Amino acid sequence: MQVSSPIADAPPPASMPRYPAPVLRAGASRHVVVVLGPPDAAMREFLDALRGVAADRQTLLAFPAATQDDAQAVMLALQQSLAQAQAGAQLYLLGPEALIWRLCNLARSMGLQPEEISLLRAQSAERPVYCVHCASLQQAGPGLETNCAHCGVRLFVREHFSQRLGAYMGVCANAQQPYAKDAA
Amino acid sequence: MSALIEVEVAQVRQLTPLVREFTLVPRAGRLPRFSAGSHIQLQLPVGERLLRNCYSLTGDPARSDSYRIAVRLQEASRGGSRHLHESIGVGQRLRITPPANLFALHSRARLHILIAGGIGITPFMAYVDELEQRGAAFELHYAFRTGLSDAYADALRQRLGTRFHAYDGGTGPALDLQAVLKGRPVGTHVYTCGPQGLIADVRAQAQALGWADSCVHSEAFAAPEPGVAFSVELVRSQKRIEVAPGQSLLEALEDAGLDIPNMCRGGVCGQCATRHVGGEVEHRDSVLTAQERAHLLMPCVSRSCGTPVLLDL
Repeated sequence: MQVSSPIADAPPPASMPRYPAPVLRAGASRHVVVVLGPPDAAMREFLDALRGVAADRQTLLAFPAATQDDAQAVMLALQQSLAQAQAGAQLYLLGPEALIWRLCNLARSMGLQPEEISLLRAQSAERPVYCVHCASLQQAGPGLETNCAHCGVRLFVREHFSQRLGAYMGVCANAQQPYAKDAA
Repeated sequence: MSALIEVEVAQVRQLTPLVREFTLVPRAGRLPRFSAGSHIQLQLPVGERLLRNCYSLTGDPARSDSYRIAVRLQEASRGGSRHLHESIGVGQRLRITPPANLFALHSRARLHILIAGGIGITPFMAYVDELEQRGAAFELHYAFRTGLSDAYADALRQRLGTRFHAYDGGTGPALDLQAVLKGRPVGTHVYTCGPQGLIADVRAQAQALGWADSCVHSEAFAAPEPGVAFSVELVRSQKRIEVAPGQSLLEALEDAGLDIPNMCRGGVCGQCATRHVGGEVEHRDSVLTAQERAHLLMPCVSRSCGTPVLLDL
C-alpha cells in the first residue's frame, strides 16, 4: 500500500517487515537453505552466489510445490534439520511471505538468533492477510481493501505486519458495517 | 543514580587464601530482587578516598534477605580489595547501590555453556541457582589454581556432577576451548567471566566455529588501570581537577562533587559517557565507536595522554 509521505525516501513504518538482501555469512559452519515454491530470479541469483561460497557446506531443503496448505511437511523437515545442526549454522528461508515467517518462528523457538536467519521473499502480487474479526489467515491481492474469505467482512489491510502470524492485519473497513454485505 | 542501600556485614568466610566472601544484610526492610549476573557497587571509605567497586552478586537470586559477594585480593590493588580483606568484619556498615545487570542470561538459549577463570566464578554462582530453577540445560567450565583461586570449586563439583568441568592451571588438564565449543547444537550460548585473555580466546574460538556474535557473552573484572597523573578542565563550570595516578577520572569527578551516572565502572556499560572538547584522550573503554570517541570519552577507565583534557561539564 502506498501512503504519501512529506519526506522523500522515508523509512517504512516499524510495523512493516523489512527484507534486506540476504547476506551470506561466510564464516558460518553450515548454510541451511529452505526453498519454497519455484524459485524466482532473485532466489536463483542468491542460490548461485551461495553455491559459489559454500558448495560443500550447504544443506538444501527444496519444496518446489510448497503452498500454505502443506506447510506441515516443510516445518517437520526444517525441525529435523535444525535438530541435527550445530551452533554456527546460518539459515536462509526463501519463499512466499506467509510461509517464511512460520519457518522463521520455528527456527527462533529452536534457539536461532535473528542474525542467524535470513529471509528472501518471493516476488508475488499476493500478500497474507489476517482477519482480526474471525482470526483466519488468507491470501489477498495488493489492494488496500479486501473481503475476508471466511467471514465476509470488508477489511482494510493495515500497514501492520505480525511476524508471529506472518500476515498483515485486516480490520473492518467500515465501522458501520461490521458484517458481510449480503448479511445486511 | 538510584538511592543507596544501607547494609551490614552479617558473615565473612575465607574461601581460599585469596578469596573472601561477605554476606550483606539490609539495615532495614528487604533488599531489591535481582537477576542472575547482576552486580552492585560497594562504597568503601579508604582513608580520605571513597572507592566504589563493582562486585557480582553470588547468592541465590530468588532470595531477598541478603546479598553475597566474593572478593579476590588483588596484588595490584588500588586499596579496595585489601581494605575489604583486612579491615571489614562482621557488623561493619556499608553502602551499596541497587543491583544492575550487564551480564544477563539469554532467555531463549537451548544450552548455556559457562566458562569461568578464577574469581570470574562469581556471577555463575547466581547463574547456577537460576538455571537449576528454570530446569535449563547448562554446564560449567572453571579454570583456577587449586588452593588459591578455586573458590566454591568443591561445592560446585558435588552439586553439578558431570555438568562441572575443572581445569587446574597447575596440574590438571588444560581448558581446550575448541573441544568445549565444537559440535554444540544450534541455540547454544556461551558466557565467559574472567581475565581479558580468556574472554578474547573464547570469542575467537566461537568466531572460528561460525557462531553468531549474539550467542557469545562476557563480563570482565577489571578495575581501571592506573596511569600517569593528569588534569581536566571543566569548561562550563570553569573548574580544574587533578587526577592522581591511581585514581580514575570518574573518581576524581565524584570527589569534586559531580554526580555522573554510572553502572560498571569498567568501560563496558556506556553510562558515564562524557563529552570532551579538547586535549588528547587515551581511550580505554570497549563501548565507544571511533566516531563517538571524537567527542565522547568514558571517565571510568579513560585518561589523558598527558595534556589537559577539556570536558563539557
